[in-house]
Amino acid sequence: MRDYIKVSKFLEIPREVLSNIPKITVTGFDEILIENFKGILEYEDFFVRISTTIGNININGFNLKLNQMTDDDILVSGKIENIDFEKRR
Amino acid sequence: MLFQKIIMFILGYVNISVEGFFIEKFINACKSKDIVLQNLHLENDSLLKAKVLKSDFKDIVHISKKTKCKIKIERKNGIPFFVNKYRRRKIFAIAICVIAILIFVLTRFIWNIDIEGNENIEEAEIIDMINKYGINIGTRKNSINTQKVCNLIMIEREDIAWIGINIKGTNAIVSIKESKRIPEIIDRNEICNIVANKSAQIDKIIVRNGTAKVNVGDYVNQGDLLVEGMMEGTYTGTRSVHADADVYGENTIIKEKKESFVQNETIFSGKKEKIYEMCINNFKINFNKRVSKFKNYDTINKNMKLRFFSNYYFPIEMKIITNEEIEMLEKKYSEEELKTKIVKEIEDEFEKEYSISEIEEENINRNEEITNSGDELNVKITYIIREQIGTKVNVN
Repeated sequence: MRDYIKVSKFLEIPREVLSNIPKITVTGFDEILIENFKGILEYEDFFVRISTTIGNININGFNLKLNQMTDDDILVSGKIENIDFEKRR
Repeated sequence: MLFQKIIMFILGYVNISVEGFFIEKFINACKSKDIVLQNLHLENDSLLKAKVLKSDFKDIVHISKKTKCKIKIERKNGIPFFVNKYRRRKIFAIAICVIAILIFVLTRFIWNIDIEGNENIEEAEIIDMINKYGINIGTRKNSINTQKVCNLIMIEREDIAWIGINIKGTNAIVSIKESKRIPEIIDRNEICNIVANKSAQIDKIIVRNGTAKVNVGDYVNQGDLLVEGMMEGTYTGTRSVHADADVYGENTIIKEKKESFVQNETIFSGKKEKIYEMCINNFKINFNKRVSKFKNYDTINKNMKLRFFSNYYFPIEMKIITNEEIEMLEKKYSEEELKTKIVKEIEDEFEKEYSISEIEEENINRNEEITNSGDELNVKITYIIREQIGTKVNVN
């Protein structure tokens, strides 16, 4: 893992390309794109919990939809109230 | 996104609803099997709706059994399902294919020839000429070399200055520019005679060079020698010269017309009937075979070719024949009215026969003579046309 980071730093390649660290892109307050995710732990209308290699991402809001789900990225849309991370120890 | 939607439509997709307590499990299982789920949203706590590709649906059924979810197809979309729906209508599909092939094949041929720009040359003559070089109604478009045909025609015909053949759709447009005949110019040093180009009575001769062979008042026929290119001098003897002279001739044309004061006049009664006819190339189909119900009628033919867009003509033609009823009415003319009518008729006839535009107005002498014989009016117009009649002809 550390070697990967060193190599990517040296070659100036974005870190998420070589390793499977998630990349989270928030657009406004209504869209979150999470790349390199592992799975969905919980899915309710008001709460989504997504697991990644380094921890979990919790999203609170209303009318949450998982718009675009492919094998490594997911687009959550809806009224997003707050986002928090649970770092795995 | 649009591109993805189009691909999904082509491959076919299903809208599914999944019901169960372990929806997260279901989603994760789909993810691990590389199944793309789209538009995931919860309807209520335990009902999930999503879009799945048709090819992934079999795997989804397996997963739903494993995760103990109930799965239901809500709607099927896309081309594969559409084709499946109309699978039994084979003739319909065949017909569509046949029509497409027919249109494709028919547009490979020429079905219409348009001619533009001709003034003196008849349209039929041009069409004959083009047919001779292989552009016919029904010839394949690829087999035509328009440039070659144009060149051949321009070589063959002196009176066509330029010809262009443009193939647009199934339409061959032939544009023509006619050439004007250039009078033969004889060099001043060459020996020549002057000959009459039409028969007339000589009115005036001005000889500048040569010997006049006719006198004023003589009648000459076309081709008669007027001025000979010979000079006789007391000291020089006979010598040949370039004849140069103005020879004016007069022609008298008498036009006479007799018309009655009471005449039948034709009036359209306004009643019409239409007969339709269909022509497929040269094969005719009449929709109406009876004789017209009118006693006297005028016929107007109108042809309409079937065409797609602006230039794709097809060999199917619709003919509309309109018959308009004519009523005969007796009309009594006054002397003045009848006179103007007859004079106009005679003038038109005269203008048709002799191209007035070439002769100057002042060289035409016109004389009217009107006699009234009670029930008929006789108009006699005498025209005297004065014009140059001499043309130079080379002596060989």
